[in-house]
Amino acid sequence: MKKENLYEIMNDIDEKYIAGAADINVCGGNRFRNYFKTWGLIAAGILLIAGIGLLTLPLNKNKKTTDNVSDLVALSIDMDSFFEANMGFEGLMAYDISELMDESPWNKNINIDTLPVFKNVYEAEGSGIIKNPDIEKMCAVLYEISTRFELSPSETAIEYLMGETDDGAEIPYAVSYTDNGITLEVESNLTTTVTFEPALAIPEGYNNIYNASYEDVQKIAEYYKTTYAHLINMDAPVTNIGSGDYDIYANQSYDLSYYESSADFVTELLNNAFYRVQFYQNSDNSLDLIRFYRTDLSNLIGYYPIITWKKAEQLLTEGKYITTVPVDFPGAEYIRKTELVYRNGHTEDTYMPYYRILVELPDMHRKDTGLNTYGAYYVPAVKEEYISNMPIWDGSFN
Amino acid sequence: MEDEKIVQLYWNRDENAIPVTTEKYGSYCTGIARNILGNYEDAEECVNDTYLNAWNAMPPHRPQILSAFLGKLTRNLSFNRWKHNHADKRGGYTLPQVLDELGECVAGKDSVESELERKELVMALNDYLTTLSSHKRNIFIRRYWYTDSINDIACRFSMTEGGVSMLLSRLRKDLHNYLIKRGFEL
Repeated sequence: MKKENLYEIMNDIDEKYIAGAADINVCGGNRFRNYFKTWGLIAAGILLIAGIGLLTLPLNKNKKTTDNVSDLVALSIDMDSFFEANMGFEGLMAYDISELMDESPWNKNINIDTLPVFKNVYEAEGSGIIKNPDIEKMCAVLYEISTRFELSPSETAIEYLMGETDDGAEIPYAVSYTDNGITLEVESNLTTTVTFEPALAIPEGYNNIYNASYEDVQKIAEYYKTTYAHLINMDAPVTNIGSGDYDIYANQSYDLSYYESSADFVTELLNNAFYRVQFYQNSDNSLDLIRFYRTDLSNLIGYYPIITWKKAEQLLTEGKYITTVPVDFPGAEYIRKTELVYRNGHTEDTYMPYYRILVELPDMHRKDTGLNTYGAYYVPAVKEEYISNMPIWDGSFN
Repeated sequence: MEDEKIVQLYWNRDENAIPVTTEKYGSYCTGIARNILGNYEDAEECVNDTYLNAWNAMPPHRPQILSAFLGKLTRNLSFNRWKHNHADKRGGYTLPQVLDELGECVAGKDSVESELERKELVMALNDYLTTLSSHKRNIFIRRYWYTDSINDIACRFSMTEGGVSMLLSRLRKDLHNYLIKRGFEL
């Protein structure tokens, strides 16, 4: 018998087993269904269809394929996500571009033909609140991360944090649990924030990652990686010391996160973009917050052919980019760094790759401190023919 | 809407049957199709075909468990589409890996199962699943029926990926030995 035959024959197994495996939850689904009946929230458009639960971590072993290029749907860039209110413009300050760090698995020597594009399973309103949270998934994540802290939340101890949709309906935007000075909060997009009260002390000899040298941050990164390995919970965590951005007072700071290594480049790229664990310190040089990023990538649209970084820089010079930078693109000679990234905000309609190109902005050079400003320009990495609304910069996108 | 009422819509040839089914089981069926096909557009087509097949099947069919009935239609349609699209047996989402794993349970030789042999094998599979705890059985079915990824199963059951892989490996070995003891030539 061939494996395909066995797979096919399995279609006819007892339906009670199929149905039994469809409705699996970890936190006790009945309580949430009763909750929604009590509050009448079914009409708010929250979909509690059991069975899909496809919180899919990055695509291990999924090979790139261009077999289905003719089946690929045209992608639409969600321009609004670039211009969220109060975000300001995306610019970084440093004395030299070499100070701006990112331990991305990608570099210019890596050639890749296709990358996956995903549809965001969650629908966010303009306010950022997610209209269709999956409470069961949120609870499953809460429970799973709680176990890393040796906590065991009971159903009655879980708190629902409520928000409002645009039309005034009450909707949970997070589930929360507190025990022993540790508070876990799982948002609708499944990002979990853990805070410590009091904050966790860091031994002497380790400096704060804010206003610290890169070497200082490397040292604290090793400390966290060793001391909190059970919280990071990765087989082979890669330390990502990112940013290196200066503030207007010329204080330099870094971001510190970890992502799971993988032999597969695409998996690693996705791990870095969507599944980081990030550590935050307070001004007292204590660890007061850990954030677990987790994005539902279950809605794969397809693997799309992508352009090279050279092509991306060429498109930038042709005006085919999106940016929040308030000054004109100064020219190709000011391109300083090109990165391959996935935009991962929870309001993004589609998770797709971009080339993020950092360009020195001579008009924004700070004479008082000598710091340069580098603006971020995004060029879609997916080939132009698969994008229905390829951006052409004309000063605005209104 | 309760499943019995949805089924009755089909029996009454009420046009609302399909929109109601879509609302309740659209995501469920799409998840199954997407796991197999990996391609969103193909998955959507298979789910639409599911509804058409359901419309044609009811009446006279009156499924005991509507979700499983629809799921079977979707799974079957999706797998046929995958076979049609992938003569080289690659591509798709988690399906190629799932098939490779099931390959450990069988010899891989070409054979044509008679209807009787097929029924006996299904019976044996059901009997095997009965021997498992519900936890193990659900994990087995999520992988080999729903074609979930290891990561997905790990999250769903709050396990590590390594733990899931190890368990599935043991279950495949057990299944292979069970079927051999039942006299199947695999």
